[in-house]
Amino acid sequence: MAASGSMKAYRKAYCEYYPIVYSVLLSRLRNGDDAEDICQEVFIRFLDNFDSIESHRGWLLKAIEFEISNYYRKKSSRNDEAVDVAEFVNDINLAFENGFRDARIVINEAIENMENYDSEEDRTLFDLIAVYGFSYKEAGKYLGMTRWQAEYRYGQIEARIVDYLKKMGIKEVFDLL
Amino acid sequence: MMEKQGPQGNMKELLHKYRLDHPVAPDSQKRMMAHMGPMYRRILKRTGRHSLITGIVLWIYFLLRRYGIVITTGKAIIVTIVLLVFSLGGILAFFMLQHRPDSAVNRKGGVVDIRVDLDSAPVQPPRPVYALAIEPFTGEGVDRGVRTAAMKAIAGQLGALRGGSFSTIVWNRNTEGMKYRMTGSVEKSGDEMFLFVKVVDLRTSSIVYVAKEKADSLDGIPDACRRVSQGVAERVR
Repeated sequence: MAASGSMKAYRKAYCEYYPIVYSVLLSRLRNGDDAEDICQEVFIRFLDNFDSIESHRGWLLKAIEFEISNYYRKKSSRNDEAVDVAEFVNDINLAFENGFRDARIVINEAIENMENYDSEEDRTLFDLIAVYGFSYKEAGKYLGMTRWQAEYRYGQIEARIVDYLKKMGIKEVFDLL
Repeated sequence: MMEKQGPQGNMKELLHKYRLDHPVAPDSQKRMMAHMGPMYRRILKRTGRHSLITGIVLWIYFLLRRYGIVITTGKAIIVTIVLLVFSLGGILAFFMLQHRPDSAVNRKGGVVDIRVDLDSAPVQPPRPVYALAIEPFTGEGVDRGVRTAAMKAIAGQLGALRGGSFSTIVWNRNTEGMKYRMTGSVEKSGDEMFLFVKVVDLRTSSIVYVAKEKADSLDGIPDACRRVSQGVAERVR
């Protein structure tokens, strides 16, 4: 359990990752109530293990996968239907489309490479805006930034990812569109 | 409103094309923001870290955050204390006003209204207190003017004998607040005239004074009134 002194750090982490965890669950489960219940369970476990966790983001994403597996296992036992858990795991190969696979892998590497972000907070900001479609203003609210601060930092992250793609041999991002 | 894209290109469009995005619907985004604080409080409850004060502080913290105002928990505690002090002060002030020993305070629906409309309030001079109420005299076969004249003569003489505040004529027969009531009549029998007067104590209903004065003619009525007045002035105290 987290000591009382670390509750401040936990609250900061909660505010930073809550929209990400919720959005991931919502995109996987497509059910707001279930997403909320699992989100709560994930953060309870997060609090219980907070002091021993090194990478908050990594731990939370693994916890999400675990909770989603449990969710579908329980659901399949209730419905007496076999559900392939792997079907719901975000494996990039499952989303493959002819001709796009290589570019998709490169883009995904650019996004996942933490060198393109100054902090985990930057990564959360990018995910909220680019992946989950939040506005600068809404994303800023979760991270304690103004709309302008969010827009400025997002611009910097985007520039670094574009530079990374150039290093990987993609001269212009527009070529990919 | 569409937000401005970065100068490096349309990253959102790129992620969308390669199916790397998972846009959350605006309704779900609103729900997410609205449930952020309540979920945090539920987590604390489930892990035994919740208390009333913590709940209030967190409620303020997440409420402000929802509107884009990010404060530290220390500031949230200060805001909570200020709000509590003002709330308690308001309750205390309301309680004191409710129990104020001032009968002029007008309470309507819990709101204390101490305004007085001086323009619309009727100004009534203090009513003089009389001891004796003289009711209009009655009588058969005698002109009303004679009866009234006899009554006014007695009232005037009583005023001279006992002072102006001793008696008054009550045309509406309202004897409220008075101690005695005088009733009388002027009767005519043949050529003779009679003046009957009775004074009753209103508290005990006992007869204090009664008189029957005879006048040989109409001209004798003033003398009869004078005698009655003297008798009443002596008997009624």
